[in-house]
Amino acid sequence: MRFSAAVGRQVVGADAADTVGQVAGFVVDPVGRRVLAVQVKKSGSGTTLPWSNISAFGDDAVIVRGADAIGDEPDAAIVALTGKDHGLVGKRVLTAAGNQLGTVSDVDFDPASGAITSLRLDTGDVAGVRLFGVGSYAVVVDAH
Amino acid sequence: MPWWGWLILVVAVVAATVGILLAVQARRRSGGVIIADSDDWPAGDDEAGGAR
Amino acid sequence: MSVLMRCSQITARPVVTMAGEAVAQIKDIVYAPGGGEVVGFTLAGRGMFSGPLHQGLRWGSVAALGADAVMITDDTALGALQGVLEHASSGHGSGSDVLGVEVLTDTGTVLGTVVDVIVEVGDVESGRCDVVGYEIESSEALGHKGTKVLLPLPDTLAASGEHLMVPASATGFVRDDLAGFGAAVEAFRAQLKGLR
Repeated sequence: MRFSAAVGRQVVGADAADTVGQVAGFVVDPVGRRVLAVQVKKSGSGTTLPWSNISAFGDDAVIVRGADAIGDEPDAAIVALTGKDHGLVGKRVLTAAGNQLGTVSDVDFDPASGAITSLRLDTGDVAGVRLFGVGSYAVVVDAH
Repeated sequence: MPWWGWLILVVAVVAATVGILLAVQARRRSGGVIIADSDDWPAGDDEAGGAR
Repeated sequence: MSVLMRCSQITARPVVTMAGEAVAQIKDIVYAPGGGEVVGFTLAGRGMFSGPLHQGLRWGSVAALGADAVMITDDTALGALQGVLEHASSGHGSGSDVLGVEVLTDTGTVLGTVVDVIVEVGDVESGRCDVVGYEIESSEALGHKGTKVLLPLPDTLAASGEHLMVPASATGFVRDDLAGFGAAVEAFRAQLKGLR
């Protein structure tokens, strides 16, 4: 599943069968190479949905227990990885050998586990296992 | 001089100052290829750096 | 597999940590006169308003030198300017800059003035980075005055802040572009070994 396809998808609470918000973005942990949380746009308070609170990430909706699954006080690990500096899409990609491969146009992830399966660059694809680090200047991937 | 004359003068001075500052800093950032002095080399204690 | 690079393109290249942060850019490339190996780099800041940094980067702390960035593990790889790097960047920084210096053969002919320096960057495991050639704007001695040619250098350089000397036989191995230059350097050095 791609980030670009998932953004805008409704987040539905299973207990009340109501729409609690819409997917706005993703918080990625480059060390674990997985999605740590989903950023949600909603009218009430709270914008961070930890991956562990997601019951199912489907093609048409993201199912959570209820509106309280989306917290406004995410834990420190998630906060540290949130923000423009840690975003993947649109960022240049450098190998650990210092060569630029391209820029990230989209990201493929596994909706069951949240693992990043691949980075789609304007110049080709990079396997998710090669992800090494994400910073304000570049996404760093292993050379091979 | 009418008021807009002073305005143009101030803007021109500010633009010139900023331009000079940027040019000076660009010159200070530029580098070349330097031969180390032979009495400085081999260099003394190096910390154990590098992750190889 | 090693790669040839021009120092003119290494200057101003960003220094990036493995976490993806650009912490500086390369200012000067400092090399040792004896074996021609690159000792390290002096650094400058990256913004429009920044000047030189009071930090340097020794070659041993470089994780990789690529076409688009110099990679370091993290910002602890940057160190205070000491020894060779301090002198390279003191004052106006370019006291012993080879750009613009004349190249002299060991038979007393000026071949031209240096406009760029070619380094060979080894792969990450071997970890070498050596100066292997100069790009010079040639004098009449090389035929067409004013053209730029690549001149190979022996393993051991005869270089100081005042003069750069090359064996006269280097003129037989000049090239116009980097593509064939690696082979020219090897052929020149092989020839020098054969003569000894």
